[in-house]
Amino acid sequence: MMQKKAGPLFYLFLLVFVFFVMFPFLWVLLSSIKPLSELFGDKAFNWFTSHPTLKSYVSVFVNYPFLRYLWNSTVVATITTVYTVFVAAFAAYAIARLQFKGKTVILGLVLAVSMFPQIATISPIYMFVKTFGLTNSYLGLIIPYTTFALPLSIWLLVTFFRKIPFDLEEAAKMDGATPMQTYFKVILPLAVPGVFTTSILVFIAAWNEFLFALTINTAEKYKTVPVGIAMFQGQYTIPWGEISAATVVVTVPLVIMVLLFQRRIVSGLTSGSIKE
Amino acid sequence: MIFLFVYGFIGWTGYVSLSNWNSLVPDWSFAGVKNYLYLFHDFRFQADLRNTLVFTVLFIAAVIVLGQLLAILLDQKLRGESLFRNIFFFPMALSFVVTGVVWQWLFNPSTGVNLFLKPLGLDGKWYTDTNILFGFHWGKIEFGIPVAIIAVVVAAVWQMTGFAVAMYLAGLRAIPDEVREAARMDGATEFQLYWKIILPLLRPITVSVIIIMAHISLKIFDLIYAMTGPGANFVTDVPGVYMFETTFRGNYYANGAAIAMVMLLSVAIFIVPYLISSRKGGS
Repeated sequence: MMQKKAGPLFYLFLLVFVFFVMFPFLWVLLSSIKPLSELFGDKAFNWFTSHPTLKSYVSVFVNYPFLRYLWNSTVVATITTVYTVFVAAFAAYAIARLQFKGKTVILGLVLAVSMFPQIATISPIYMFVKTFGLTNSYLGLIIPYTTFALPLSIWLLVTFFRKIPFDLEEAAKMDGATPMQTYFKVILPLAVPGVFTTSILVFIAAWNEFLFALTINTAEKYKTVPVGIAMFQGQYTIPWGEISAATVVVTVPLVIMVLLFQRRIVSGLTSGSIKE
Repeated sequence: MIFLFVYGFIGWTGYVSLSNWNSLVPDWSFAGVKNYLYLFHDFRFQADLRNTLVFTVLFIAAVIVLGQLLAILLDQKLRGESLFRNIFFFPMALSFVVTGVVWQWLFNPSTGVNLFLKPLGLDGKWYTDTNILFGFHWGKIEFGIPVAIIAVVVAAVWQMTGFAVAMYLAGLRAIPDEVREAARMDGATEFQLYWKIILPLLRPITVSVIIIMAHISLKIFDLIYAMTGPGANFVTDVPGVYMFETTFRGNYYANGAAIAMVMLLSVAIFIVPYLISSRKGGS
């Protein structure tokens, strides 16, 4: 085997890119601990601040209903994830195992839903939600979120279920297990990695969603984090200190999640998009 | 059932786009293609189409080039590869809104990246710049590359490149080592190896990357809404933002629906052939 070792030049080159990727984070982090007077003007370009302060962080939680936004996002994203994955796991199992006419067409239509611009459905969905009095409620967001998260989840889970050998079910049947028992005791435990990956992706998508959140939940009480962050900008001033602090607060959990589950997220995303 | 729901809603939008409903009160009377004609003669919509085209081309090109380059660099059996991969990947998990806000701050004319440019005597106006590069008049608009769009492209590339890297890396790993060794035996230089052998082998992945990035860029909304808005003279406006403002701020439901349908069709041009071909190739 010819093992090519990377030279120091490679590392240097890579580090340049790493710098480009990290710079926005570092800059925002720095901005969030700078005193307001150093955000603009002479000291705006300083690498360091001699007076680090947590004022912006305090202000985000005290002067803005940021905690409320975080809570709203958590509730909506969690319920969406649990419901979507629960339904999708059943549907995907059925699609993976049952043979029926037009299966590939249905799968194609399913995947198309997740790729079409959601904006093409925003006005009817808004009307729908409004008719049922669900604007400014958690349910008003959970309904459209699950609608759009389901197709991709089903698609992902079908690929996972397909990898589970059919013999296992046959064996379970021989041993006298009912289909339900087979599903819950044999199949689902094997599909846990797939279910987990799907859950992460659905959660991130719901947590980050903006268009529906912006349109449907306009009341301060029901805004989610992305809408909250986008709307920090006041009419005349933009409170950059607070915005930076808020950005750091919402970014850190996602960064940790990515560091922990990077492999799963990547495999999930690519299997959803590359043909097998 | 869910899918009937979604396709039903799309049908509804399609119908509204052909109606006269341009006020708060629903008006279902048939208007033909009037709304579409209006759009294609509209200054703002023409600017939107220009911006979308420029944005999509620049964005996809940058993502492909950087994605391949970084994937090849990461594939050199280096130490700490997973750390690098993580770093490149994690902007991907952020929402476009956060990316937009962060880059709005970075590109702020009086701070951020201008840290590096000020000493060079450059004074970046970035997304507030209304100049259009290589501009010429075409229809009602000046066609060319709006400077402000470049700022948005940078932000989008920053966020999405990690995804392309991950896909290319998977592709590189799938190429057996024998291929490389055979090429080296035949006396190919490293550069030739990658340029003539590896990159062509990665072409199917490039197709996937193009499809994925195109459908993201054609329907982009959050990033621009959070970062720049329509911009002066609509230099950074895109159909998504126009649609939202027309429908929910102006109550021109029929016009908004027509914009949405144009977006839908443009995305469909990319993904329908892709889905059909992947169906044939797949199961």
